Amino acid sequence: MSTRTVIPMGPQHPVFPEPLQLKLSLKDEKIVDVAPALGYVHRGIEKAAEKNDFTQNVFLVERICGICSFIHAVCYCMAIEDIMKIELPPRANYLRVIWGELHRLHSHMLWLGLLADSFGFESLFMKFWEIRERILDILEKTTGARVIISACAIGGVRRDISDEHLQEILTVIDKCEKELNGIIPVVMSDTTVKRRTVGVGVIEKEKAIHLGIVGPVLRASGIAQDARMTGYGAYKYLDFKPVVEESGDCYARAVVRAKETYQSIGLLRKAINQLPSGDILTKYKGNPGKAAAVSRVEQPRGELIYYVEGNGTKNLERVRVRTPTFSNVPALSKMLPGMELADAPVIVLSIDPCISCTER
Amino acid sequence: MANFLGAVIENLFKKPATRPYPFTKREPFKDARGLIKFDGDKCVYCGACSKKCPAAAIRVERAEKALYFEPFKCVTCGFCVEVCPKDAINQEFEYRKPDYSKSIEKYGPSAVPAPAKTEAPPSQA
Amino acid sequence: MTQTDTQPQEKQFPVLEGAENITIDNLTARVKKLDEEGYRLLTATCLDRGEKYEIYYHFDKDLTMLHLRLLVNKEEEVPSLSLIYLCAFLIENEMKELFGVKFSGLFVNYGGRLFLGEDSDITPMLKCVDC
Ligand code: SF4
Ligand code: SF4
Repeated sequence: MSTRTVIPMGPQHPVFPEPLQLKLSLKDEKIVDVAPALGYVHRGIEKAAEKNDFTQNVFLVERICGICSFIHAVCYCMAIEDIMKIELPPRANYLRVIWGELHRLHSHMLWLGLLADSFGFESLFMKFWEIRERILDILEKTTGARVIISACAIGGVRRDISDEHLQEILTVIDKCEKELNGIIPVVMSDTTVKRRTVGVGVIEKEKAIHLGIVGPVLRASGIAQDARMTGYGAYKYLDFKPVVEESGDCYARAVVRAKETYQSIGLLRKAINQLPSGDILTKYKGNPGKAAAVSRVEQPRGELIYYVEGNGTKNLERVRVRTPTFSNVPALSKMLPGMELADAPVIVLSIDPCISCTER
Repeated sequence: MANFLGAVIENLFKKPATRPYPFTKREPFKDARGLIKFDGDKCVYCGACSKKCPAAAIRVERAEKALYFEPFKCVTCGFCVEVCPKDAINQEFEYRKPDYSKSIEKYGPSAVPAPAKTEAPPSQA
Repeated sequence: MTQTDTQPQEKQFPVLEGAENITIDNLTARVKKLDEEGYRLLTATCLDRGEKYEIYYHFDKDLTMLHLRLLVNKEEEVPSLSLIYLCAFLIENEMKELFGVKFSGLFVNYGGRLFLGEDSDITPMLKCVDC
């Protein structure tokens, strides 16, 4: 039998939280070729950002992604602060780290849950999401909203976290850590999980750079690259070390993310202990001048880059967003061929696709 | 599966993690960003909120001293509350209830009964 | 940060600090060299400059960013980088679709229908002249 079958996977598929279509060409059960089809959720946010007032854009860019929304706002604000030469108060930098890491924590738990779901381990999925809910509660308590927290502003942050809430964050993450200790070993060492992930969707170190992959996927292929290493915001005071795995398969990606959840908990503790007191917002005047700036931060899914150019008015000349999934999607064309059709959901999920980010 | 056994046994004896909504409701958190209410008497119809609203949910008619608010466009960001010079905007902790139609609220000085739902579509929309 | 160029046409636009100017002719050679040195292609940014496109290619190595700045006339074809860096195909398809930049040698060609639907406007990111 050498006839090819083309199976469209998605745009509606149980493992995809968002609409992505992959046209998989199969020879029997083996995938031989893959063509990603995008365009189901393109919203033209880059264009809208040119038409809006630059202060309104903080709320607009948050809506690019529903999971790491705060980090989008941080990156945008960093670019504007660079153009306008705004110096942030130290407390604001730390608060951005705290909310950023809380976002990473809940995003990784969401992903670990989805991974369990993608190979049919429903009870593990529910467990992860139960823990994640506590993080969302703490986000709502401190900022007023669950995911799109709108806490970032140009020049700092919009809300302060009271000492009482800081204490509560510490208790919640302690509790989460204890609960995670009970279920992360399941992901790391269970035979069922390993059978489905080890050696699946491998990206070798040498190929990784040409495929342009970023974030946990790149780190799972043995390259220590994390935008937090640049020490933006308060990360320079937190002694950050990236998590790296060597094998480059789905299992390594799961391990990187599992370890990063613990790392985030550690960073949160450190940031809360070091948190300086003082102002949370620097006042600024005027509009961004005729200048351009590039800023980059680390999202749960990888490196996020903003190119922002002002033109002296309250509108911006250009806002370009390079989201992590946008650079991880091409890698699918190398991960999938040669694999079984049944592995496709796990592989696609292993890059943690965020399609709304990709298409903006 | 041995690793998961602990969690399985724990699950058997645990209370559910979810609430039987709508019979039990969680109190909204203090300082949650919920629905927006205007105070037609405090407002001076300066239009600052409508200029800053990222969702273009507010329209201020200065001449007729009226403020039209489209609650279903509002993204509850609270930016208008921050920019209002007269503290005429109040953000409650509760979320907005769903509705059958995307109504428009009209606010004005209290001589005009406020808030009243109007059918007149705002010209800007 | 604002550097004003001497040429009258570019005067009104800012240039990204530290960007290295390249032309269509030496683009491929320069990028090949960067590839050998172990740079990662982060992304490319396209800007509409009236008569021309301005394209920034952003690279990274050991947490230092490097930007290449390319100015091309709107009719000219830009050589595709997708044979050097595979990941460039998505970036270039996006530029092609949203700005109408012409690329030669695209590895995978979505034909201007990557994000946009069959009947939507083409090149929506270009600056609108009369609005
Ligand atoms: S809360 Fe935000 S979206 Fe809602 S009316 Fe105020 S500014 Fe507009
Ligand atoms: S609500 Fe406040 S900002 Fe809006 S028009 Fe009235 S006074 Fe001005």
